[in-house]
Amino acid sequence: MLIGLGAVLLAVVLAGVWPQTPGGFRSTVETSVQDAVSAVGTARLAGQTALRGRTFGAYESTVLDDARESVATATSDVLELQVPDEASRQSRDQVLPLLQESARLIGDLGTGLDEDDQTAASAAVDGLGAVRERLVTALEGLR
Amino acid sequence: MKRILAVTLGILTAIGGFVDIGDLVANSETGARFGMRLAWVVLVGVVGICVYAEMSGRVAAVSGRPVFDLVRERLGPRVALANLAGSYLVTLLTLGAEVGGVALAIQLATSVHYLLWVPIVAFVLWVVLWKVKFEPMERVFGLAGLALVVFVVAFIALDPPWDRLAGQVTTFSPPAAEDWGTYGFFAVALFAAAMTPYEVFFFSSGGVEEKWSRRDLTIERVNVFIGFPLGGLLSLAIMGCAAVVYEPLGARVDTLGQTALPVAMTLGKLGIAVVILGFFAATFGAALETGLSAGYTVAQYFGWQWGKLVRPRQAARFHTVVLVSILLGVAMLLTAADPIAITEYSLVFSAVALPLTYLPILIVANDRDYLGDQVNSRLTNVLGVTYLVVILVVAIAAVPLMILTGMGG
Repeated sequence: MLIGLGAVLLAVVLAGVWPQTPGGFRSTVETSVQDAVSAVGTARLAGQTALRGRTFGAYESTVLDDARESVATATSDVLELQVPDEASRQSRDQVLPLLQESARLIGDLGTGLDEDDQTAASAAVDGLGAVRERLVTALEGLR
Repeated sequence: MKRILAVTLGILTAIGGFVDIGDLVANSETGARFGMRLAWVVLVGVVGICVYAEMSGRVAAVSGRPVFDLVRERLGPRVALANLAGSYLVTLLTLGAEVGGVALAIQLATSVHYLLWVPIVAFVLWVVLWKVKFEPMERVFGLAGLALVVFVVAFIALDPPWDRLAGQVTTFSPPAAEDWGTYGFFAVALFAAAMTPYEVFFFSSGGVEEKWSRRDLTIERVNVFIGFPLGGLLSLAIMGCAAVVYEPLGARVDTLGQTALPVAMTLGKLGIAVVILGFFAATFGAALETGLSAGYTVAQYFGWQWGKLVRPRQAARFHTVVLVSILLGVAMLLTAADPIAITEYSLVFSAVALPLTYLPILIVANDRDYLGDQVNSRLTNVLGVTYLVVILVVAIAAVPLMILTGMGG
């Protein structure tokens, strides 16, 4: 029993310090991009709904905050990893600008809606549509 | 007339009280990722909870004692202690998830961070559990939970692609973007959401609180066999809304705000107000039920005075367990653990604990010393044993699937 418990604890420690593998890196990037696809898709739908006057401020703000936080977490997950090889570096360099663009557009949408600036909010919704397409393409490439 | 009103109220309460944070999370996540491909699990789960809730309600009505009380007497203190430990921990985890769900619902209405609401929600929860009588407490939140019917309206208003959804309902395999591991994991989560252990503890203890007798068996059965399936329909509507809106986008759902968005898209501000009310009622009602269930299980095991029929002073240890359980739930949330993640863990560990809850019910429901001529019929036993096999498979598969898929990926 004690030996088994010790082995499990040792396995946990080893898993924590084991060097990043290309497969592990790719999997983390894929999860991050998937999270960004979800957040951007949701923010775009919320923006379109808000622009039609079908939601109220507190709800919009909560949904957009959640979306922004999700993209921020996805970005930091990618940035925190040590890059194991050249292919992983290329993969990181491909997705990071998309993640940053997503975060920027979600922020712009929130500001546009807060300030009742329909033009800015509409531009952010359109931008989110375009960046979502690119994220989906990147995700398909990672799968 | 009075009896018809009682039956109608009971059914409505059962419908509104069926959905909790586990159902909200599991059904919307599953709809977004699998469309309606896992709808069959909801149906299987609803039939299962009907079979076992009827059994536990019958035990309470005929013996005048709740299931957990009889489990200790029938199976002995050691087996019952293992049962108590497993059930209490799962109920505690669920209580934390429900309190978090209430706070998240209030955040949707106020945009004030949910962590600031958690202590206030916990305080109000404790006051309600301390002050409000059992029946009004159950009725008010059960009936307010009916606001979630707005998901059925929204689903129809979305003008869903019926052919595509019908095709998904009859497809028993994962879509191209998913694998069998995640399909299995979400099937386990949905099944556990429908058959959450606290529901039967609450149902049987509630029967004793409401002084059910043999004369109430018909009402009890009508509540279960009509109320729970209609509650399951709400679950399917939540899944359907996510399937129509998010699945085509390849977007996953992991917040309550996302769960509510299809309602806002179709029904506007009024819809969003109603859905937030529904979230609040469903999670607060379930927090009351889990808080009481935590007290019920411990007090019934140790043979303490319990329940809301007696003054708090007369059931001081029961109320202390309830209070401590609420505080532990709050402490868990104040670590800043995500309430949705807590819900997912609570579903997995509920699945593991399912046999601990349902096997003793099946044994007690077959004991003539307690139930006399009201023991299980042959059909009920066939269903009960079949479900027990399913429950065992789910319990064994839950943790390996959680590890293999990384909580569903």
